This record gives sequence, structure tokens and C-alpha cells, in this order.
Amino acid sequence: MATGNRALPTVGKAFLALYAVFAAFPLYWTLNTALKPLELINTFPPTLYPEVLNLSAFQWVFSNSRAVSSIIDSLIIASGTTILSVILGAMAGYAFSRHANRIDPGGNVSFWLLSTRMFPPIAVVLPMFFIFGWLNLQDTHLGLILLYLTFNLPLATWLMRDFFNKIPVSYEEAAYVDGYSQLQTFRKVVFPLVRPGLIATTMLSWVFAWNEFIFALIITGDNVSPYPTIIPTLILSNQILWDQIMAMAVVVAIPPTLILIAFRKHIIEGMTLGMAEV
Amino acid sequence: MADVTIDNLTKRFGSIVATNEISLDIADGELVVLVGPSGCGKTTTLRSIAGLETPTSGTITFDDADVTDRSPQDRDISMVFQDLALYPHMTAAENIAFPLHADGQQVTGTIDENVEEVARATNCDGFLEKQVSDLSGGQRQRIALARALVREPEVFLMDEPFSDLDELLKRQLRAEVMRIQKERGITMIHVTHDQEEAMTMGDRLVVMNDGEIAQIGDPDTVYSEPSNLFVAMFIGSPQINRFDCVVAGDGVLESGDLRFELPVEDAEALAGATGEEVALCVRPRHLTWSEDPDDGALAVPVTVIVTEQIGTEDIVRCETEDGVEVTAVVPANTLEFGEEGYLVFDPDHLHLFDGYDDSAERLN
Repeated sequence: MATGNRALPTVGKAFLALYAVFAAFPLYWTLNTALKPLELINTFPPTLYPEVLNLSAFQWVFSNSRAVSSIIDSLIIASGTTILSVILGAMAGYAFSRHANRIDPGGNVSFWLLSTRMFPPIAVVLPMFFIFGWLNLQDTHLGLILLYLTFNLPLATWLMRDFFNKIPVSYEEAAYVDGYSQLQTFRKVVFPLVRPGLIATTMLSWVFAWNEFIFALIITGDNVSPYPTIIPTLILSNQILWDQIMAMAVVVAIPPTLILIAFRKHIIEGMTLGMAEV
Repeated sequence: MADVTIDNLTKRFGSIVATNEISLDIADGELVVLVGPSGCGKTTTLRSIAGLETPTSGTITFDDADVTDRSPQDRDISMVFQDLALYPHMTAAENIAFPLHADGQQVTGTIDENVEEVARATNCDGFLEKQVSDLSGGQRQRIALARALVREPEVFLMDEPFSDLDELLKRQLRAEVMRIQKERGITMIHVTHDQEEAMTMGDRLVVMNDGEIAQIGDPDTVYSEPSNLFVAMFIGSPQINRFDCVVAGDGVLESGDLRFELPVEDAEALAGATGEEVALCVRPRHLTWSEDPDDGALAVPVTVIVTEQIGTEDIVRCETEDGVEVTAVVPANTLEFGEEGYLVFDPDHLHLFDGYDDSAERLN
């Protein structure tokens, strides 16, 4: 019995270690490839580490105007859509949470919102292409920001509704009774409690917009080109610029990674609202 | 502090009538307990006084000011919520200080002084710096109480705040609330479903049922002269004994094979009511055991089926031949399972009601 109990965690740890290697290897290989000179990438057997450290691919990412401006475009679009979807989603989520019986009898409205997320986006790509053409929103930052908003807003609304639901109404009522206005109550009681949820929602919205490819490819073109649309252009007819592709991948993976690390505590808190005990 | 007048308060939620034309006067410095089963409208009444519900019709007045349409912020009330509503992102002390930080709140002395003073009064000065999530149930209760007491509001409201506590702690806190209420002369309205709590705390009880007031009175009156069958059945532990009878003649009631000849003063209440349905009730405390009752005594033959020991007394649950359950309170260790005998009614403490419904009114 006792041995069994001790053996199991060991097996478990070994399994977890194996899984960590499995999950981390592609990331490592991306970095490994980015640091190799192009001509050494396809050698067989491949080298497990770059024998000659070659930073030219990273130099390309940071100096090529197309690469740099694509990352800036992505930053503008992802941040713009995130700010809008979190602000609007938080307001809508609060309304759904606190006034459900007035605005959402039977839960049909909120379910309809969620159902827009179940719809396969690829099915609306072509109609969107024409609609955005008519509205002159093609190839603009605003166009993609609005387009991503249609995907992010339902998600943000649902998440925020759940986060608000976890805050008992009596918390707000207690503040009203103590003389606090609705706005002050929101600022002093609701906002501090929902902040982890807001951060988690912000993260999810931002990451979706940052990584989206298909709509970016269809809607944008010459003026605006988010980074996911630049990477395929590195596949040339006679060769694939693996080093540049991988360097680009490493660079664009940095912002979400940093954000995740910085807000790790809040994201975990976001799941429990930091008050599992109450 | 203020007196509170509720006039014809009605609150409907869709087709559900939560309170139906409730009228109630609460004097300055009085502790009134609203008591009743869940869904009786007691919490709705309290929330209407707080301004958290808008009445469908009727008015609520503090002193002479009509507050019916005022928001909770403008009513100058304190309230302890059923779930306490302590803020988990603040320490105990910050929770207590919270009402003092509201706009327009007049504070005499510093906020810290006020917090410390009320913390001493409610015995929570030992854990002021802790986070709410690190406190025990009883400690949270005290903090919630302190937060409500830190100001001097017009009216103090409590919505079943003790319901999650164990019995000992509940008694202790009840006693403290009553002490503070008397010391400070607070107008307090307390809501509970626990009739024992209501009896021990209230200057006056407001017994509610189905959105209406069944009886208003001091605990003694409500206990000894329940004005209808609902109040009789709801107030008192163990529950009152009830016999559904038919008037068989002058001062004579029949219930199945049982026959009760009422004392003269009670019989008068039934004059000319032959054939009518009457509920005869008697509290377990007003029954005595006898092997061989006197002639003419009001008694029912029973067999003991359960005895529950509660210390100096036993609660015995008996059954008549017809299977009617009768409960009595007798001296400890005098009766055993299976014993047969008679339960004799105290003729001075009979309760008669004109029917079998909750609303059946008192006759004697």
C-alpha cells in the first residue's frame, strides 16, 4: 500500500516530464531553426542545436519594413478590438448578469450570442469580403477591428456575465444601503472583485485577434497586413525561407507569452474570482 | 433613530403576491421581529423598508417623512444581509469602515476611532486586520454587525443573519445584539424563520403567512393567545397539539371517538354552533400524565410511542387509538415506551379555532 502510494507520484512525475518535453520541443525547434543559417536547416540528420549562431533571420524581422509594419498592424488591430470588446462586453455582461429577467427572459438572447461563436467562421468569409468591400472597410485597421469584435464580443460578454454572476447582488445592495451610488459601488466593490475576470477576458480577446489568419488574409492587402498574412509570403516558388518564418514565429510569440507570465496569478484567480472560500 | 410606519404595503412579482396590504407601526427604539415560514413575505417587507424593493402600492414612513420612493442611499438605514455581504477584497477593519467612507457621511472623530469603538462593542477587536476569507463564521457575523452599527442610522434591519451559525454561537450573538439594541435605543427590524429566535429577541412579533400578517403582539400574547390556527401551529416548540373536532352539543366537541366536554367559559364561545367544525388546541406543556383521571376531566387515552430527553423534562410523543399524535412535556424519566394512560388537559389553557384552515380565528 505504502509503496504503491509513493510509486504513483513518481510515475506521474515521469509522465508529466515526458509531456513537458513533448509540449516544449516544437517551441525549441522553432528557436533552433530560426538561429540556423538557411542552408543548414535541411541537413540530415538535423543538428539538435545551431552549430553556427546565425542572427540574420532576426535581423530581417526587425529591419525589413514589411515585417516590422505587419507586427505593428497586428498590435493595433489586436489592441483596438480587445479594448472595444472588453469595455462593451463588460457592460453587456453586467446587464445580462444583473437584469437577466428584463433583457434576457429564458436565456434566449445570451444563448443566441453564444451561438454566433459556434458558427463556422469560414462560412461567412466570402459574404464578409463583399460586405467590407461595399463599406470601404477593406484593407483598413478599423475593418479588422470591427470584424474581430463580432467574434470577441460574444465571448467577452459571456465570460464577463459569469464573472459578474459570481459576485453576489447583496454586495452591491449592502453598498447602496451604506450610502454608495451605483457608480461608486461599481468602482469600490464590483470592479476590484471582477478585475481578475477582466484580465482573463482581455487576454483571451487579445490572443484571438493576434493569431487570427483567414479573415486577415481575405480582408486586408496592401495598406494593412497583420503578421499572419506575411508569413505565407516567405514560402517562395523555389525555396522556403524557414529561418525567417521561424524567427517571425519566435518574435510574435513573445508578447502573448510575456502577458501570460505577467498576469498568470490573475488568470488563475480569474477562474475562481479569488474568493473560492467565501 | 426613527419610528417606522408601514401602510397597506403590497408587493407583487408578476402574478405572485409577496406581501398583501401589510400595515405595521414600529415605535422608536423597538425591536420588532418579522417571523414566518419561507415565502411568507417577511424578507420582501424588510427589503421594501430598505428601499431594495419598490412596493407595488402602499407607503413607508420614517418618523413623518414618506420614504416610499427614496433610494436606499437616501434612507439612512443599516442592514445585515443573510449572506452578510462582507467584501472579500477588504480586511475586517476596512469592511467596518466602509459605510463611513460614503459620500456625505458625517463622521465624528476619526474613522479609525469609530471602527475601534464599534469593534469593541461587538467583540471583534481581536481580528480587525485579517482578511474576511480567513475569519470563522462567528467572526464574520460580528464584522457584519459592526459594519451595520458603525453609523447611527434611523433604522437597523437584519435579514436572518444568524441562520448559518451553530446553536451556541447563535444564542451568544442574539444576546449581544439585544444588549446593543437596548443600550443604544436602536429601532431594529429583524427577520427570521426561527420562531424560537423570534420569541427570545422580539419586543413584539409580527407573525406572517402567505404575504399577510397573521398576528402582531408581544411574545407572551402570541404564545398564550394565538389569534388564529396558523399562529398556534407555528409558534411554540414542541408544536401545539391539535384536534379537528365537530361541535356535538352544548360545550361538547367530538373528534373521531374522542369526546371533549369544555369548561363553562370556553363552552360559551361555542353557543349555538352545533355541527360546526372547530379545532381544539392545547400546548404540550399544558398536558399532564395520569393513570386514572378524575371524572369529568378533559383527557385523552394514549400510548407512549417516543420519549425525547431534553434535560429536566422529557418530550413524549403519544398516540391515541385512532392514530392521532399527541405530544406532552412531562418530568424527566417518568414515562417509557409503550406505557398506556391518559393525558389530562389544563382547562385554563385551551385554544379554540373556528375551522381547520390556517386562517381559522380564535374563538375563546
